[in-house]
Amino acid sequence: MEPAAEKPAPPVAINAAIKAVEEIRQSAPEEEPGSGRRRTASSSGDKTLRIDVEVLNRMMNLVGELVLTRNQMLQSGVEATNFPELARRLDSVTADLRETVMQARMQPVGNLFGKFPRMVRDLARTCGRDVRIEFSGQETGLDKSLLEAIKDPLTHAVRNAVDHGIEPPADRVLAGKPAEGCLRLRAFHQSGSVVIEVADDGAGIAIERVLAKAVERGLVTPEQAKEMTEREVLQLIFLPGFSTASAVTTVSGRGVGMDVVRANVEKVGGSVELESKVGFGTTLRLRVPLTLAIVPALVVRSGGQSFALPQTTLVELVYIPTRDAAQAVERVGASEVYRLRERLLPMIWLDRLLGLKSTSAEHGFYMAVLEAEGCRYGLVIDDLLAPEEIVVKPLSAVLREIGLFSGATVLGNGTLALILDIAAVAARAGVKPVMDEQQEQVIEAVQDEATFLVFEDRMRERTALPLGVVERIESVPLSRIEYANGRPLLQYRGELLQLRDDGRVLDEMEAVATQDDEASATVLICGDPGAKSLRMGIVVRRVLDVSNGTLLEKDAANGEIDLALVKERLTTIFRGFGAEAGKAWREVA
Amino acid sequence: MKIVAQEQMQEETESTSLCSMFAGNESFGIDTGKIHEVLGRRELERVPMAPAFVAGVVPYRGDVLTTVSFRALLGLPENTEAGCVLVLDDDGGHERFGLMVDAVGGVVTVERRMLEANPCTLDAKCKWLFDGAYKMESGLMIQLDPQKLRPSRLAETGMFRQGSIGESL
Repeated sequence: MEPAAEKPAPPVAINAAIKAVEEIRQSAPEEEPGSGRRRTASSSGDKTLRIDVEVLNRMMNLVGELVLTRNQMLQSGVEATNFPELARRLDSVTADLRETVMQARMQPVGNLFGKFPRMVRDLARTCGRDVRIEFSGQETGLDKSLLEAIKDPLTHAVRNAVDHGIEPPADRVLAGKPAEGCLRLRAFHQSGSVVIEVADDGAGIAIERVLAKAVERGLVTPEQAKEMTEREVLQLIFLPGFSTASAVTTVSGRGVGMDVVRANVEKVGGSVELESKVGFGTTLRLRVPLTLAIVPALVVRSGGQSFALPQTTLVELVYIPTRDAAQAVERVGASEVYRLRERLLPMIWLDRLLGLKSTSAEHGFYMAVLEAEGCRYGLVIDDLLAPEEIVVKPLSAVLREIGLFSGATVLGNGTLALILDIAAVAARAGVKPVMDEQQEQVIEAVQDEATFLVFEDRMRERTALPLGVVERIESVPLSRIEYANGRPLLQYRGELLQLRDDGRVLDEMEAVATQDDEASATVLICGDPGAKSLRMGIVVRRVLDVSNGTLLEKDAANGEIDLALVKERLTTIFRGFGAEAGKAWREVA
Repeated sequence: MKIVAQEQMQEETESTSLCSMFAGNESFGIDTGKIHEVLGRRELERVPMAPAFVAGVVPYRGDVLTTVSFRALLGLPENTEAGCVLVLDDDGGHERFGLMVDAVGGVVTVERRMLEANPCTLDAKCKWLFDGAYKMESGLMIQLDPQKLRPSRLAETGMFRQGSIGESL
């Protein structure tokens, strides 16, 4: 036994951490040293950060605690009886320290917005515009490094909006709009990311002009141009060297533009969306992750290696047993497709794509239905491991160049897993975002017909929910459902979900369940993708089907209840979701 | 030429300490000042589609360390057992990376005048990798320059790219 040789291993890392924090204290509030981001941060002078002294003191206290724990560990050694206790202490100190550092890094978006009023005023004067600027959501917190990363893209977007978007006052009056244009900057949280919106009420983007310019620049051929959809045309704006400004001014028209905006935002794992209506204005949406550090992900295995798929891109999971594999996978030419609810979904085998050894899966395989940047496809993997909150680590330049991985992470068991870049995998395999648009058109065409998830909550009664609001179907052990004030609640991914149990399923199950705790309830996790309302869970007896149905006209016969015909059977449409539920929830809170 | 210049520059320090390491049948040395840490034997996580010289990634102090396989650089077949990983830093601290060798020896103090430049008959790959050799009593110890082993520099040269997919199959 050589305790001397084993002991120094943990304290080396701890020492480094202690030193790092002490450096922060000495060198005045500065960014977290050792992080890869500091090197990539913009070259401007904004490398300093204001931190609340209280936060800094708390950090120092925790570091003191860390030092004490290290000393005790050094003195007692691995064999000591109190080692587990020390390890636990170390664990809690580390968690606290991490949280404090994260807190110190969170900055309100308002810091960034602050400089815009002056900039817009100056710009408006040079461009001869009349512009009012409105803000909302300044208090939304965002990691310092992310704030830094979106600063330039946002500035660019605001300049664009003033120069290209908002028309001169005379034109505006002619178009029947107030002479003063309005520029709205909005920041808000949406499903694990922060959205920053730059909206103007200007002229919008003229599709024809964009197309004409693209043809002129040789970015697309006239034949291609004829076939392009509106959405594809708007994407052209993000190509390098694109500008529709007819004259080069000091503000814009120099061709350095939206491609840089997009590249910068995507570098930090975000995305850019553009929406425009001719005559009504343009909205540019920058979507960035809340923090670069922690992302919920699903860990999967393929070809003997682990990979992490970000949960935000995961739509659903399909299990294909070996006996069904032959029928489930169909071929169109050389490409393989899966029939998912009567739509063909292109399949990508991850092991083949990455050139890994194929492992023969005796138990069948899984297909993760993923969606990113409008591409939807099924990624075939060997096995699913646990969902995990992963800490994203950047990869070195050489590995980033492969283009398929957005980072790596250390899993709970200490091994590394690569994080797949879902959009890049789609691009590599040749999946195009065309399918999605067809689907959208279909939905617009038949408004009354919608896809429902049909389930049973009350005995023998079929209830349906529009499929769009169902995020996930979870099987929850009864022991995980907690009660407050007589209402069932579920802790779900760090969020407290209110459970609706119209069919009294829980009561029945609690009555039946005796000693065995294995009983679990089926819960539909629902959230309205459009509205910003809270998510909620619906307890159901069982899930029956997913199918199309037609909403019945409201009349005297059915009164207040919404009914639909789904597969020729009467089905109640579940309402009271959204505004109502939110109100009820606030009462409890 | 470059080596001669370095020699002149550092003439005042008579001797230097190198960390010896082994790959294949040869021994190599890297200036101890340029080695951050010796991690010892580690199982690496492979990166599919990566250039052939990348052995994989390994977690190191909160970072993911790209590790260069020295055997792959020399064109040797892959070893079945896990190699030793060294953590190297370039001077600017811009890029920290790992180097995987078969085994790490110890610290050897050598006199600078024992260093001799690469023989002119060396092939291009080795000319890039090697930085002269020390004439030791036990044999030659080839000096390596961590600067040139940086993954991004290796990728730039394009000499070590071949067989990137073949290796992982």
